[in-house]
Amino acid sequence: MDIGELAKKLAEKYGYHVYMIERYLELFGKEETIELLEANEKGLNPVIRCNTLKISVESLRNRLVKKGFVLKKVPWIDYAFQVIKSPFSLGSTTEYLLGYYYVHRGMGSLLPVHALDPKPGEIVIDAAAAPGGKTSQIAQLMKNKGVILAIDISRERMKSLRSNLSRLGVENVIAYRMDARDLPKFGIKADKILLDAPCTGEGLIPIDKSRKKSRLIEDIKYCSTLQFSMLTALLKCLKKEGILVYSTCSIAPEENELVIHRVLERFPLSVEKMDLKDGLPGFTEFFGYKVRDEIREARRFYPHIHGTEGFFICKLRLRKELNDNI
Amino acid sequence: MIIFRKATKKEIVKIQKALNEWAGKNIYKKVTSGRVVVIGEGKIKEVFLVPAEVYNILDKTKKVRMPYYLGLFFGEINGEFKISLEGLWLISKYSRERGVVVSERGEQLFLYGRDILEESIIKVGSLVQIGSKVIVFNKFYEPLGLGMIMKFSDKLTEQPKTIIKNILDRGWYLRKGR
Repeated sequence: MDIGELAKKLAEKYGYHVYMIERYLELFGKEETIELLEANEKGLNPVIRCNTLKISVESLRNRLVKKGFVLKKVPWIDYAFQVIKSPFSLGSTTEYLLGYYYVHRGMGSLLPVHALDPKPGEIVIDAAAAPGGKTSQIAQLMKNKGVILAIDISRERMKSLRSNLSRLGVENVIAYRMDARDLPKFGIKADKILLDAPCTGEGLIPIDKSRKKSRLIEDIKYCSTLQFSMLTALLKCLKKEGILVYSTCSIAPEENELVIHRVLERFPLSVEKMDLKDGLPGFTEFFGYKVRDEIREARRFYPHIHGTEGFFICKLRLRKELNDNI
Repeated sequence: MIIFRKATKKEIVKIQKALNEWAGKNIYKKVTSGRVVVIGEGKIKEVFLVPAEVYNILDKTKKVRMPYYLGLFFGEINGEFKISLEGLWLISKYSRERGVVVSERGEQLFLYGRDILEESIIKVGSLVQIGSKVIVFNKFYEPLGLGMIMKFSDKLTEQPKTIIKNILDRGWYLRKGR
């Protein structure tokens, strides 16, 4: 059976656009593509992140276990648990309402902040911040000391951001509803920046099955262009030797490795090794493209291998401060 | 548009007065230490406690753009100062005697926005008076919200009963805060 026929067959069986399966077959081969599609069907356990600004990990775990929750430690992060069984809705317990935890849809979304490694006293920009999951994780690692500029363009999602950050007792945030590409106008230079970029969300299929059909191939190109322009603007807001972590919940290389390659070609950046105990190296060749070798240091996560959403993370260091004219 | 600025003397006096009633005279100093009291003035006046470092960023950026919000939402001034849920969280450890402790059943009902009946009240603080606002705590002394303690005469038994009327509870985050 040729690739086209196989793609059509699998697309029909699992309910995807044919172009998506064709791409998976080219990237991963037949066997792994089927493993990925099967893992997407299974879904993921939600994850709760203990909010150490308000309660210790042990106290929260004991309280929830007493209430009948079955929890499993997230392998890479010592303040988060996968929820194997929950007797109540995760968003309605007293502990949730008191701000003792935040609910993540999967383990992958915890990793970008872990890679960013924010410290108390730093100036950090979270450039696509709403609804506040990653911002509050940054705040807890900073122990509410220093400053987080939380940026998002969506009016509705900003309401959720404010509510979540209030509930979690986050204080060191100044939140702006704006296009992150306008940030250089502030003239602020940050120690660290997180860009968990808007993307096609292909990696979220285990959580949201509608994504099998909701995006067209043109959307990948649109997102890639947007991601590059956001990244370019944000680099102007970084101090010399500052760190920018770029992540998406897409597994499309055009939204990941290709975006990184384009900024590496244009700006004085290096790709940093990350303290992540898992993940596969970034691609250096795909769909006829050849990108810079150092992109191997980026990390890819998959539902069928790591039990996470599909995720991409890359850590960049700016070697020379940029001015607005670049 | 909401304009963010430092609180005026008059506004600070209002906040101080309300806080003193909850937790005595030193409470304002305690909760504002290292923080700037900022007013977000739009249709209503919101009060934020803002760490000094965050306030510096506001100062640098407000000519370009006003933020959506900043710091910790502490309450609002609408005539008098009304404390927020997170404001209550900050002051609660200093004002246990102005609170009541409720049972687990009472906790659940209160977080659903309901009033608390007498049988769910486990302990009443020494400074609580009928007709006054009280902090509602669970058995771990975690503040669940704000209520008004009232007495009424039960129509069936004609016995006087105490209830805590729900003014504000953390179930708000579930009902409205998403």
